[in-house]
This record gives sequence, structure tokens and C-alpha cells, in this order.
Amino acid sequence: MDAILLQILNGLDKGSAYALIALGLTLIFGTLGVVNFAHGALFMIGAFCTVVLNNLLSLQRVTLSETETTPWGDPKEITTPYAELWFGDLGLAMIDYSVLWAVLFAIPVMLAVGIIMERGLIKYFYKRPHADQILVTFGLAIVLQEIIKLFFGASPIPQPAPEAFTGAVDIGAALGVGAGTIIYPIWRLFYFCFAAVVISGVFAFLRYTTFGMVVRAGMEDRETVELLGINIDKRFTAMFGLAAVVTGLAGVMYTPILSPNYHMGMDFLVLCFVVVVVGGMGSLVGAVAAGFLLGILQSFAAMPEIKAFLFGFSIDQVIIYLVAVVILLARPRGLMGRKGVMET
Amino acid sequence: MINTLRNNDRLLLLVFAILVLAAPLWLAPLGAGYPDLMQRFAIFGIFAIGYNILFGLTGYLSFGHAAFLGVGSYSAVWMFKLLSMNIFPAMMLAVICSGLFALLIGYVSLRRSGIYFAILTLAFAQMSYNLAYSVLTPITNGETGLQLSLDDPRVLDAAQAEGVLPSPQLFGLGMDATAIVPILGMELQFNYGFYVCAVLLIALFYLSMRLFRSPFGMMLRAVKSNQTRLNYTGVNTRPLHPDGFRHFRHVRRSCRRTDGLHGPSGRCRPHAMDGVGRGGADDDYGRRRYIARPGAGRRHHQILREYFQPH
Repeated sequence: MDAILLQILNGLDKGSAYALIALGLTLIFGTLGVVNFAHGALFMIGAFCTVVLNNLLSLQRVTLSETETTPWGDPKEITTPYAELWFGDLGLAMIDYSVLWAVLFAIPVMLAVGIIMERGLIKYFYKRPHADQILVTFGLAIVLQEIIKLFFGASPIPQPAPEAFTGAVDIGAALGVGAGTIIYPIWRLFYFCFAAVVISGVFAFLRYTTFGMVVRAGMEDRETVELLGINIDKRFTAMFGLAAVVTGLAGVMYTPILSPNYHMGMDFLVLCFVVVVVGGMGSLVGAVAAGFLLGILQSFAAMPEIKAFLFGFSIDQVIIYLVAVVILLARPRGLMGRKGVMET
Repeated sequence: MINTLRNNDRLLLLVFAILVLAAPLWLAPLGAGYPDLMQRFAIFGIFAIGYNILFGLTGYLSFGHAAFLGVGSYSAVWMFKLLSMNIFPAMMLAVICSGLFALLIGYVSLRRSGIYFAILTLAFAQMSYNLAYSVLTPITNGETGLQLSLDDPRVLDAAQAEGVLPSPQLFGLGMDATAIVPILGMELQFNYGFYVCAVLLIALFYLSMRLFRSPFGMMLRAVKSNQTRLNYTGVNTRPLHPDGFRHFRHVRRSCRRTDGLHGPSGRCRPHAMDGVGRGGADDDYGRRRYIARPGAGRRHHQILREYFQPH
């Protein structure tokens, strides 16, 4: 029982990331009808927002010590972050919580990136065949990757979680299944809560605001909404920005779990496409559900018992694809897909 | 066979062949005339031809195409390790393995078209990568990659000198043998390996050209523009599908039945009745153009016409 609970929890953090990215993908897809292969790049840019902010916050003043020397006889360098110099303890706390500050930092950045991407490039491909859209966004993803690689190098850049969120909690004791049986890192738990908040936020936005209502109407029938005198293009552009923000935030918060590197986007993108296809293209609920489902499935497949059962083959890397194949053979439209979405 | 292509095509093929075969001459001034790079040009040319048959004709955008290249390479190296350093059996096995692999992937991915197909093939590509990288380590040697080693069996080859890894050859022709000709202060490098690839490239270019001009190619093009319509004209676009199999057999049977009867004069031809084609059998339009040999079955003949005869 506790082993199963532990695996479910393990799957939740990855599942949350899948769900967030898949949600963004589905938003773009449902509104603009474009399959955005550059979506993984948005996730990666979000992660690098954290890196940038962390680097900015920890800019240091270097002074030479008058008394101490290094073992080589040079005066010792004393480094002090400017944040500490200017704000004292508050500054140190700011550096410590840089990941959370990066959330605020990433929102305008990702919004801008998303809108520039849509207005600057993708806009010109709406009337072109799907293959063209795929190729141009795929190319864009590669360009963005290489730009990031140019500035930040190819090696992963570890980002620390805030001091208060490091370590693990004993969930087993809290749930009453026995102390010490389920120990889970706090940050991952936090990530799951964060994802839940963001996802419900997006759903609430679409469900309860006038803007969201117009967008949903546009997803159903774009032409009619346009005939009613509403500039749906503008709203769809905003939705692209929102999708970019959701995906970027997924990236920002994922940095303490996975050190950002330039190709993390591509790795996640492929899985998220599978998630979207399994969930049913164009279905927001399906995307989120399939994200969590596949994340949990993946962590179950990584269990040693499963590995022993399969004669030592570890299938956690391929289980998602296998499940996708089975689901597509049984239900070609995915779990919650509707008829006629992108089926031309 | 070649004179059934259009004049433009023949010219294109000629220019292409000359450009490829003369690559060591005109690439050398650019500084690109070394065997390794030229061989790579030729290999990726072949890759592109294969890709073009799928994407160019049917419009199915596959992101999993590189997986076939990978499967081919792995099977070739296994042939090098087990059988012989001759590249011929290696190529045969590579073609068979990647073909079967493509059949498997296609069976699943081709259930959907358009965007779904692209995503599915991308997923398969990633899956193949993960399989090669971790799951199938006993076969692929994981991260290190599959390498030749001194104690490989290589049952067909003569024993090598101690401590020397053999290099690939084609019936005794070493792939790394290079003739270096100094001209105008440059060194032109004519490499066997490159020329083997180049000849293959030209042959496959020709083959794909035939394919593009054949009725089969027309059908593939029709898949791109309107698959439903093609289905309505009686062509099954998914012959491997269980329903399709039935359909396909049916169509083939009915073809065979009417084949001998629907000629220009409507008379029944003997080779259509007994199922054996004559060499250069005249087809329904009365032109002589086939390579079907005596003894080759009528069906064989029919398939060849379907795939490679210009319309």
C-alpha cells in the first residue's frame, strides 16, 4: 500500500509538469489550430528565466581583503552579493527565494515571448498546411535552443530550491500509514500544489470570465464569433501568451528538480505530445488528466518489482510510448478526444 | 527501360550522375573533397531520397525517419560482427530490418494522418532512441555504441592479423582505399567507399524517379491531395489494415480476372490466362517496355508495372 502511494506521489511531480505543458499545448491548438512544436522551447526558456534571475540576484561585489591572504600570498578576494549590500538580510532572503521570484519575473517575459512568437512568425502560417506549421515551429525550437546554448553553454546549470523547501517530509506519518514509510521531497510536493493552482486558475479564467467565454466560443466556432463583431484574433493571441506563461511557469518551478539545460524542452515536448494525443487532441481536461496519468504510470514502471518481472528490462523510458500505442489502437481519438479535431 | 522516362528526366539523371561522380573534382577547390565528407553527402542524399518518397509523394510528415537509419546501422554492424566485413550482406540485413521496423511503425502510425502522424512518428523516434540508449543495451551497447571488436566471430572472413580490426570491404575492395591524384596544387581523392555510395545514390535516384512517374507514384500523390477520393476510386490506401487486406485481395483477384480481357482489342491473351508473362510483354496500350523475364509471373510483371512504369 505504502509502496503504491509512494509511486503515485513520485509520479505527481513529473505528471504535473506534463499536465502544465500539455495544457499550454492544447490551449494553443484549440484556439489557433496550430501544433506548436516550439512549445518545449517555451518550457526551456521558462527554466532559463530562473537562471537569469538567479544570476542577476547573485551579482557580487569583489573586494580585496587587507589582512587575509590566499595560500599563494595574494590578497584574498571577498565576494558579497549586491543584494546583500543593499538590502541586508532581506537581500539574502531574496537570493534564497530566487526560484519563487523567478515566477514573477517569468510571467511578463513569457507573455512577451509568446506574443512575439505568435505575431512575429506563427501568424503567417495559419493558412498553410499543417506540415508547414510543424516544420516552422520545429525550426523555431531548434533556433531557440541554439540561442540558449550560445549564451548559457551546453551543461546543465543547477538551481537550488529555497532553504525552507529543501529536505523531505514524512508523509507516511501524516497519513497514518506508518512513520518513515513514505518520505517525499518538499519541493516536489510544492510543485504539485503549484501546478494544481495554475491549472485551476486557467480553467477558472476560461470558465468564469467574459474573456474566457469569448475564447471558448471562438474555440467552438471561430467564424460565428467573428461575425458577432468580436476581434477573436486578438484574444487568441492573448491565449497564446497565456499558454506560453503556463508552460514557462512549469519550467521555472521545475528547475530545482531538473537542472536547466538547453535540450530539456525537446525531451519534454515529445512526451507532452504523447500526453496530448492520449488525452485527446483539443481537450483541456483530457490533457491534464493524461499528464498525471502518464506521469504516475512512468513512476510505476520504474519500480524494481516491475523491472524484475520483465527480466531486468527497465521500461520506464518507453512505457509512455507503449501505452500511447495501445490507446491509439483501441481509441484512435484519445481518451477524451472529440470527432473532427485536426483531422483534415 | 531508361527510354521510357521523359527527356527532362533523362537530362536530370545525367546531370545528377555527372555531378555526383565528379564530386571529388569540384568539391576539392571548396576544401570539401575529402572522402569522409563526400561519403556523408552521398549517404544523406540517399536518406533524403527515402524521405522524399514518403513526404514528397504522400505528404505524410514523419519525424521518425532517422530511426530507420539507426536500425539500418545497428543491423549492418551486427552483420560486420557476426558474418563478414563485406558490406553487401550488411546492406541486405539493414534493408530488411529497417523495412520490417518501418512496417511495424507504419502499421500503428498510419492509423492517423496529418498532425497525429507527425506526433506519433516523433514519439516512435524518441522511443527508439530510448530503446537503443538503455532498454536494449545487450543489442545496441547503449551509450557507448556498437563497436567492432577483435573477438567477433565473422564466420565468413579469413583470420585477421593479430590485434588489427578489419575494415569494411565490398568483395575484397577495401572501402577506405583511396587514389590520390595531385592536380593544380590540389590533391584529388578518389575513394572506393565514396564511389560505392555514389553509385548507390544514383541508382536510388533513378529508382525514385521511376517511382515518382509510375501509377503507384500517382496514387501516392493522390493520397496527398485527397485520400478519401482516392479510396472512392477503388484504391485501398491501407492494404495492411485487416479490412484492407480483404479489400486488397479482392481487388487483386478482380484485376486478374479482367486483366486478360480488357486489352485494346478485348481479346484474351495467353500470358494473362496462365499467369506467366513473356519477356517484354506488351501491355494494354500496346507498347513494349518491360523487364519481366520469361518465367516471371504475370503478377510480378503487374507489380513492377504498378510501381515503376511511367504513366
